[in-house]
Amino acid sequence: MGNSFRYILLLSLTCLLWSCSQSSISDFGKYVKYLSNPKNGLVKEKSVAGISMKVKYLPNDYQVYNDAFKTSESIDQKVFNDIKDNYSNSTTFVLTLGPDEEHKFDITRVDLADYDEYAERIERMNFNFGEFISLEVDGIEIQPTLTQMESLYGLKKTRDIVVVFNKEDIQPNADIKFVFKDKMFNTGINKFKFDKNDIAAIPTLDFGHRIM
Amino acid sequence: MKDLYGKIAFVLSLAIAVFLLVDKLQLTGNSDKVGVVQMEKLVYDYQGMKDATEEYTAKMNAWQGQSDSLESMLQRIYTEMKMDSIEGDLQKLRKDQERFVLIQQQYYQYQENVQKKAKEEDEQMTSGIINQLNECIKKYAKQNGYSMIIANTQMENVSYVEDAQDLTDEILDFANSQYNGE
Repeated sequence: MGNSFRYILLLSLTCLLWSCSQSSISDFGKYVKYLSNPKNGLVKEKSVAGISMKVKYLPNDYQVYNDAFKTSESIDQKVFNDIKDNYSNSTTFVLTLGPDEEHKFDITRVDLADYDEYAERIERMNFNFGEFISLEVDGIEIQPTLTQMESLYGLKKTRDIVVVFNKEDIQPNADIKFVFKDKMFNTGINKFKFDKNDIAAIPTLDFGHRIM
Repeated sequence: MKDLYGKIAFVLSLAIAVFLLVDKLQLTGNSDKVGVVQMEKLVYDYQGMKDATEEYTAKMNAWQGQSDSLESMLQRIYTEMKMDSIEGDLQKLRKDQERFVLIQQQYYQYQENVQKKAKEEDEQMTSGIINQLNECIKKYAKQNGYSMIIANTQMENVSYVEDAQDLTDEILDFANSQYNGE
């Protein structure tokens, strides 16, 4: 009797732990909140010499949602599967560069002498940013397959750079270090560590009710 | 009535005494905490400096390799020119001389560019490291309640510091963990 009770308790605990680790969220707002909460380890931030650097891990579900439901409330299963396939081989981060809390400047213009330097910086940020970014996984350096600066038309002092890596290049179940070797703002080599457990604990986004 | 005034006066004076005591404790606590950091050791033992130096050296070696190949090309043409003179082949000698001057110009230009680029890279690397360490010292001071951390430089601007006030190892550990993104 005592033993069966222990087995049942153990089984219940296992089920509870399993359900906790495999949690699912159906509300996109709550999902975004989860991703943005620094306690969940998916946003890392540091400041050097007045420059704030924030790196955010973007799970595939987040991108699939943005892509699939940007313009429509619901979507056909086949189209949804195609979109999901498009993102299945990538691992994405967003690097946000801007002034820290004590400063107010436009990151694309800070510490520049003239228009030529501004043009050079914009070109580097738009087209050559991949040269400054890599991942370190299990001692292996991985280069991005795509970097893209999001255009904000000067509405914000910060700039977002979307960085995409090939998922197959990244060793699964390992801590990931996002490395930004800065050559523009004198902040040096900056590393942002993402814990494998935090990545594994990301809840899945439940699309069920929006797919026809 | 007199008793009530007496009680109020007692409570008020007690409150003022506690306030003054807390204020005094705060003054003698956090704000007097001063430490010293040995900048030279901090900079050279900092992992960010080691990584940046490794990268800088690799880049320098690649540039040097390019410079070496131009130099050996010049050496080869010079040998050919010597052979041309021995053999009396004036036409080839003239052609080789032209080639030599052209490559020599490229070589000097390349050397000049490399020196300029190396200086830029070095300055960028140093300022990046110094900025990162300054940020770490500031953060360490705030987290550990220091009102001042004095940086002792190569000029030995701090001639004596007790071991307890030397924060170099602690700040180095802190800076390295920050550098590693932890």
